Amino acid sequence: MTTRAEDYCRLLQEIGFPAARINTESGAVIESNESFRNLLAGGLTQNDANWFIESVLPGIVSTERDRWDAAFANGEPAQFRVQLQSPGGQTSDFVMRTSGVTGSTQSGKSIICVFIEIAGPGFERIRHEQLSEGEDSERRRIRNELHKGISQQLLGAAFGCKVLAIRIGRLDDELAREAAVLAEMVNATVTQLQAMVRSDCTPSSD
Amino acid sequence: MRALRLFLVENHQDTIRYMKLYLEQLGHQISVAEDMATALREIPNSQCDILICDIGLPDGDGWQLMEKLGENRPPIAIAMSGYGTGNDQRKSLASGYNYHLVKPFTPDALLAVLRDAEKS
Repeated sequence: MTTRAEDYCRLLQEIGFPAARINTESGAVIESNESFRNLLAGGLTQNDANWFIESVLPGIVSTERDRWDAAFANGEPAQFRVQLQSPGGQTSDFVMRTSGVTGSTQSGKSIICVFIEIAGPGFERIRHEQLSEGEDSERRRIRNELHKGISQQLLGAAFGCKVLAIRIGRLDDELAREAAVLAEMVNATVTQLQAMVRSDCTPSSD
Repeated sequence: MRALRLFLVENHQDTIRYMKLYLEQLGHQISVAEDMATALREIPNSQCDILICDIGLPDGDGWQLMEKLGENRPPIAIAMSGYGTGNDQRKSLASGYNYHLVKPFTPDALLAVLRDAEKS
């Protein structure tokens, strides 16, 4: 499915961060949201046709310029760290997320740029969300390991110990007691693991 | 407890080996299939009393197996799975299983279920 330019225009207004659609040939701001206009009012950027070329592009670190060129040319989603400077020399660091606008538009080829101020509350929120996603992913990985690996091995071991305990019991009383203790240890581990599995389960099957 | 004819559907080799040995020591007769296709082929002629089936199979799942068995379902069926969610357990009961054991479980837990199943 292709997103049309007018859809991007509506999305721009709904984005909570400063955002603008930029003509990729002239560098001019085609449209922007209120947060972006507030950023302009604060003097961090210049609202003229060349502001993107003169203010933003130099702020992309040199090691990332190749990546920027590729993302810019292909209109693929990308993220860059940029530093914007006010006329008074004060600088602020931003994460700039970009994505190409697909579909034909009267204003030509364009990209959407969203600016998230580093250390601002929005940046902290996004970072927290990304950390949470990472934690969830790790939790899922451990849960799968528990279900498909460890619990299956332990199930076999529990039955194996029980079999040995029964067989040894026929040969030697003292060894039988030791084997029974070992089987109970495995049983206790099984029970503990089962409690862990039950306290961290999701609606899915093995 | 009387000797039962049990049909085990499981694809984990160590589990098959030791569960089979344990159940045989208790005097039961065990048949094994490692996937759904084999189980579908062999269960109808096995005349087993109880099916013990892992939900996660290489070529399907234990719920599909019950559905495909249709009239050939054994009188009693026990599901085993690595997840113990209410959703999984309800799904097992809805698809025709009488019991749902959450892996890992102890040999004593299986024995208790078999004793309960034998009464019914």
